[in-house]
Amino acid sequence: MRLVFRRMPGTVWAVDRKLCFTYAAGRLIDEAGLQPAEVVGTTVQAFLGTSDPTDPGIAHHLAALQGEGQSFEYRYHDRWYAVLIDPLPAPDGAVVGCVGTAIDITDRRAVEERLAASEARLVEAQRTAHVGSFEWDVRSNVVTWTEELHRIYGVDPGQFPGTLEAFLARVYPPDVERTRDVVLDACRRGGPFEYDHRIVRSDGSVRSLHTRGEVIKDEQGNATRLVGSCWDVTELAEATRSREELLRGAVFLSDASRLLVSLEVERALEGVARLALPYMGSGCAVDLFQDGGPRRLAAISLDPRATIAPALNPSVLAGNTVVVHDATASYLSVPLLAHDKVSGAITFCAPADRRYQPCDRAVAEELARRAALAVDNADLYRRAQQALKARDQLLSVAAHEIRGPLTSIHLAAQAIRKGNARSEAMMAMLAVIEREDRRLSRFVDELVDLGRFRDGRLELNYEPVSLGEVVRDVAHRMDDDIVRSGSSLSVATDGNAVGQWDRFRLEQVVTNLLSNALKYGQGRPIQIRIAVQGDHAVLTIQDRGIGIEPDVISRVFLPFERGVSERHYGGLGLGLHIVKTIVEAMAGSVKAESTPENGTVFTVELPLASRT
Amino acid sequence: MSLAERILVIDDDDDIRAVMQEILAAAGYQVDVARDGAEALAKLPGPAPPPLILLDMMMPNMDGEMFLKALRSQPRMLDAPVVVVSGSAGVRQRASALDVAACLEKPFELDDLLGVVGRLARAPH
Repeated sequence: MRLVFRRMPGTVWAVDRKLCFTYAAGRLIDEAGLQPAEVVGTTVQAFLGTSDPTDPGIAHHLAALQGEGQSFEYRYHDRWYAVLIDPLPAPDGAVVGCVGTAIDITDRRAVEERLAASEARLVEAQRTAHVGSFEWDVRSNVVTWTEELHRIYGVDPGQFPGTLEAFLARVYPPDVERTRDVVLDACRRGGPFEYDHRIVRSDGSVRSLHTRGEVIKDEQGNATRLVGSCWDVTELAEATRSREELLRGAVFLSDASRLLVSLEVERALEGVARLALPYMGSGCAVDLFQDGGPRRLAAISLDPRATIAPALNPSVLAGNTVVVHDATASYLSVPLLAHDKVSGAITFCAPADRRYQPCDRAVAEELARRAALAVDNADLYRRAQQALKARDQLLSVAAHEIRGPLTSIHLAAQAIRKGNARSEAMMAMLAVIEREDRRLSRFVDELVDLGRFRDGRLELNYEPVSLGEVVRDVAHRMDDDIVRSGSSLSVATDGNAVGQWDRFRLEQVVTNLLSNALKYGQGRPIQIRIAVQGDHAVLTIQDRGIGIEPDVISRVFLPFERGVSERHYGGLGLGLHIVKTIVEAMAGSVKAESTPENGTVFTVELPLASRT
Repeated sequence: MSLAERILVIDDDDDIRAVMQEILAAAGYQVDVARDGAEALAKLPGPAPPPLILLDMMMPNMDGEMFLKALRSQPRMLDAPVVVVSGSAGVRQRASALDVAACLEKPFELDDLLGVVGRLARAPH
């Protein structure tokens, strides 16, 4: 028996109620360098080297003496032992001592500790790398997640129902179908699988996961389990996506810029709207604000049933970028802003699940800057074309207007010289020559004035001038014209309108306004009123002629403009422009009010005191 | 084609109208004048044979082209001889499309005026 014990890897002993060894054998004794006989008679306390009753080695012996078997692990001289202590009853049932066994478990414990540690390390590694693992038991449809995978999904352990359906319920809706296909396909094929998908965490945020897995099959080749790891690649995906976005944005902007080089800016903007889809959304509208209110130039949608964009936000009209997300759609509006002037807006819209990001905004704003410059350039080009057209028109009008008096002078002079006029008509022929000669001089003066105004070379000689006197002088000088027009002229003066003005230029203003009234007055009465209002003189010249159409009245003071076609009325079309330029140079103002077919009133206001 | 008995000068320029009227009257023609197309149409009464019409193109109220259209819409005026007298550039090209007898480009010579009129109106008394 002792031999048996001695061969055992463990140690066996017996103690009495005083914890004195009555027997001891085994490895512990051998390793302590003792003979079992030397141990017998000594106490457990002495063997363990402590008399502390709470030391597990002593406490468990004491507990066993109470009749209860004990099982525990105990560390002795740097080694671990699994210890069993059982009460030793006498035939009458009273506990007279206990027997114990101890087996060295140091190696097993080390293995267990390493296992525990490596598990802890795995958990830690998964947590820091955002890698979670899963296992899907195909037959029972049980999905098991590691702690980190719970964390990735934002789910507390125990809250995940653990089925394929519960997993798919957490996949970002647009990715569900593809994810299911990948999983089922992996089951069918039985090979390793790898895919990307997005998930919706419990807090609603969307993350991107990269998954790699293996399929485990039974002997018949049927998939029994899918195991794999998921890696949270949201940041990586975002970085990659933003790089791609930047690249796509740059390509889009460069393509758009190429279109915008065109001077046919409206067509170019329409092309840009087409080019923007689907990159910038599912719809794009372009509005221009030239010529008054906003005008929708283009509205393009990938979905023909969808409405493109809401009414323009007033904030865009004020020059701000506006991003709106509502239940049905997302909108991004950018103003076309050049030289502090909003010339239009571009609005993108997208389904509600696309939310416009700062990078979209940046691309849209850059596009808007380029588009605004294109609009601006096209506008400059248009104005340059208009200026050229105006110049050509001036040349053709001037030629026509000069040919008239030239013809009269030509014919009258030849008639006198060759005797082709009757003697009683001689004086009339000479009068024609003189009158037409003055008309030509006036044209020349007007053209010279125009050049002078354009260069800003209008010099004024201020002196005390009576407006009433000027009107009377001009009316007297134009008496012939008044008579021939068939109109009557009445002049009403209210107050002494004497101010610091340039007499010659003021005469020009009155002459041009009166000529205008005679020309378009249809022979009906013309009224001139002179009044003093505060520190201003007010001159009104009213005719009852053909009037000016409302759409034309704003342009009558522009050079070469006239209320009617130059085909019907002569003149260079400079008279009112000259009036306005002179009046404004003398710090005054002029306006025209008209009812078509009922005549026009021109009102000139001039400060009495010189402002310079 | 018989020569016209009378001449009608249509021009909104008072002086040109007056000078042409005097020269043609001094040459013995019967001359009438009008300041625009509308006034001219009113001076083309009933049964009298059509006059030779000297027509300016740019005029208020009714311009030369409108007048020609109105004139040619009257069957008895289909053959009325018309001479376009205009100071606009390119009037010759436009006149060729207007079915007119001749074209005088302002400013023209007195002899040119008398020459054209002499071809189309009855010799003066």
